[in-house]
Amino acid sequence: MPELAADVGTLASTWGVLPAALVVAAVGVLLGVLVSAADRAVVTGQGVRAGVEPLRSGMQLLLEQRRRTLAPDRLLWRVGGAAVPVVALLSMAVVPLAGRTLWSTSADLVWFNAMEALLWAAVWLMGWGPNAVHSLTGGYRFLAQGLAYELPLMFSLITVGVAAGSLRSTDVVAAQDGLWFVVTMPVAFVVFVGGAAAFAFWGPFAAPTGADIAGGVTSELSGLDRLLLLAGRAVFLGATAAMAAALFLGGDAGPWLPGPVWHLLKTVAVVAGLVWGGRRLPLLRPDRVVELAWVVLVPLTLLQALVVAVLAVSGFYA
Amino acid sequence: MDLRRSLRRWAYARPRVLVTDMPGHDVLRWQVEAELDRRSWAYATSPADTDVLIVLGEPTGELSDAIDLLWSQVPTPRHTFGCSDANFLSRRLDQAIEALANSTTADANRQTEDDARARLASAGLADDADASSSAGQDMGGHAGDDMGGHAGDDMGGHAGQDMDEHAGHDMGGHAGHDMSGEHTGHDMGGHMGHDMGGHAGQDMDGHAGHDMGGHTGHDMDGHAGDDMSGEHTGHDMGGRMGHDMGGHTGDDMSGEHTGHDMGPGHDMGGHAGHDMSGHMGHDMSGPVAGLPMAQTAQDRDGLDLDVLSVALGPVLPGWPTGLVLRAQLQGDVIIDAQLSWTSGADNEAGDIPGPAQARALDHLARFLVVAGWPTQARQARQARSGLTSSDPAVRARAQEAAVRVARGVRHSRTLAWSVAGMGHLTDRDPERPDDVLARIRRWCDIAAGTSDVAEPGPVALPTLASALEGSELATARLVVASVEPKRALTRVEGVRTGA
Repeated sequence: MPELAADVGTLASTWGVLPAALVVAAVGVLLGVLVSAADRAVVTGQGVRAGVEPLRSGMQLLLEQRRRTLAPDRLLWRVGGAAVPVVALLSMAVVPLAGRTLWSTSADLVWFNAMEALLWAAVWLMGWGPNAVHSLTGGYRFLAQGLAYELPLMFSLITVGVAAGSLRSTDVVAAQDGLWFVVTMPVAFVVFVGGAAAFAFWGPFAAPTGADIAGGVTSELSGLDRLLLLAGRAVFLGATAAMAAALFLGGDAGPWLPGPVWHLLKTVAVVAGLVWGGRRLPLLRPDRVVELAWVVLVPLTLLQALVVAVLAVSGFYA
Repeated sequence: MDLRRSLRRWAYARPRVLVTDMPGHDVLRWQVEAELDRRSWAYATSPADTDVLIVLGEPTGELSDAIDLLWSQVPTPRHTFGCSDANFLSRRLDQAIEALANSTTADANRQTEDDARARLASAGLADDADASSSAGQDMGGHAGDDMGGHAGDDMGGHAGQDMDEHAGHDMGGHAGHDMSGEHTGHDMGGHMGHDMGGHAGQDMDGHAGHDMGGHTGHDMDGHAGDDMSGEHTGHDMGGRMGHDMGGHTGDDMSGEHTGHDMGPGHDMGGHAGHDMSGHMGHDMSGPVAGLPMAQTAQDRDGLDLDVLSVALGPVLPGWPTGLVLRAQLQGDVIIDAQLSWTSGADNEAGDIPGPAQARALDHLARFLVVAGWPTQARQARQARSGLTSSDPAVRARAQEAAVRVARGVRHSRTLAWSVAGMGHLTDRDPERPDDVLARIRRWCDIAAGTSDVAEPGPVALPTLASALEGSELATARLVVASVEPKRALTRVEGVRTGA
């Protein structure tokens, strides 16, 4: 269905590159605030009053002194810290907003996956940089966790591509005209959302920043550096929730309400489900998660891809 | 100005708090935590994450030094207060917000600089090497070996952090220290050795006879610009970790230099009388690395891996304050674990008051923090606070909450999957398992208050340490959190015989 992409312009071509990029970045930040507020509400039990807390924390961190450590690898440390929010915002470029993405390539899903994979380097550098045991341990843990989530996550994205016959986000949304993908690929959906929690080292996958290692990769961060990491993580979670809504829940499809409202509602639902479910679990230790991922999730996602491939060949998604 | 001040007040209305409790102050800690939970203030996980440091009870001995060091690593704006009872607690927390909102950057600078000077002075004058060495342990767990690394971090955190943003901090104030004479024969290893790095240009001549061996924290590149050539043949440089000469991270004190070579080839251990002139002439405008390099040793699979000496404690989230784990770390696997209490935390300060059920909930709450389950930890804390209330209705609700938490933790399959089979303290007996999970389920039973399970007794430190051998850092933390470590063996037993 590549012809579908032809009549859908990109945000950049409509509004100009800079305004469109600013709008997309702003949406990304708002999604990050949404995720962060929902998380705070559940963790502190504050409810809706927690809505303002992400902004408050952000302001506080901006006023705070930045931490120095002895003999840090400062260049790599700062590069890692800046990379997290940057790749989070870059991943927003292929998330459909109001039916259009910031820019559109024939490999949008690969782009999204690549941004997420860059976190391997960014988080590891964050752990390496300050020259501190807890931080370094956090970095190691992230790599171990990466070995667990990366393959199942890629298989779930591939499954989506197979069903849509395209790796372009807008094509994937259009291909769900009749039936949302979540119906035929529930495993891929759950793995994608769970994978988001894992690569954003959040909730049950927060071992790289665990309290048992004094905050891990965040243990030596204060001020702006901490803000960049935490904000980047929240934006990534928000972007992935919006992406999940587009790839599996039909994006902006829905009756009566305007499309963007539908997409927002679905995104909020994914965020709510993620936070509610994630905070019901204790930390999952990376060494055990790796086992689960390779013994259970890899076969399961492959099976899911097989089923979807057979359906696609038989013309089910046409 | 008013607008800016009210903005700051708003920003700091929910500060992150680090609570350290001296032995025997558990009930006070419960009261403080109840107030913090009521206000939805967050708990800090490290000094870098801290706005307010609350010290419960009067710290003494090494613990006092450790808390000073920890405080020195808290970024500004910051506030601390001591607390020996819960009177005016709410007002003091309000005052903490005011103090944070009012502190200006200039104040913070002065404060930091004063601290740094005081620390340098005390580092130079301390006679008790042991005391100053434990002062170096901190929550950060810096990559350096126990003492050296931490004390060095202190330099980084203080003097160093001012270099970029606050040009007013003058490292030159510490320059030109003449260490000769007074410090002859001085044991520098335990003395936050790299504080010396701040003393750029100091004259180290005439220090023959320094015993630098065995002091893992000391390394020579802390002496940037020292005249080390020729005169220092008497130095015994063969230490346990080896004194590395290669960590020239300090060369570039402005911190731009990232060519930190961690290669083992730089280990100069045992090279007494080495000509160090090649290491001179460093730029001396900033912090100096006093960290020893990691060495290599065979790991459990027989592969050569880096070994790092670390000290965990005496203050960590969910960790008994004052407990210190000294170990070698390969990756995140612990070898050579040794546990001890810092002086000031080793006395058994009488029985901990409060009902057994509340104690069990407290124990569960701390375990759940370590196990990464903040929502259940909060509910356990809230149930614990409610149980000590004088209002019967509150107590009844707390009892329900306690049962709910205990059931949630006891029946969590995820937790069981995550922690099962680790931390056996006794020989494995399938009939009576004694692993982390079994112990936690026992705490759950007591916490629910529905059965009369006996409270498990405290575990002796050597027993606990041997259970940590060969485990990962995460496992070790869970194992320690699942027991009550026994304080000062002899004194506790003395109390018991007396009673």
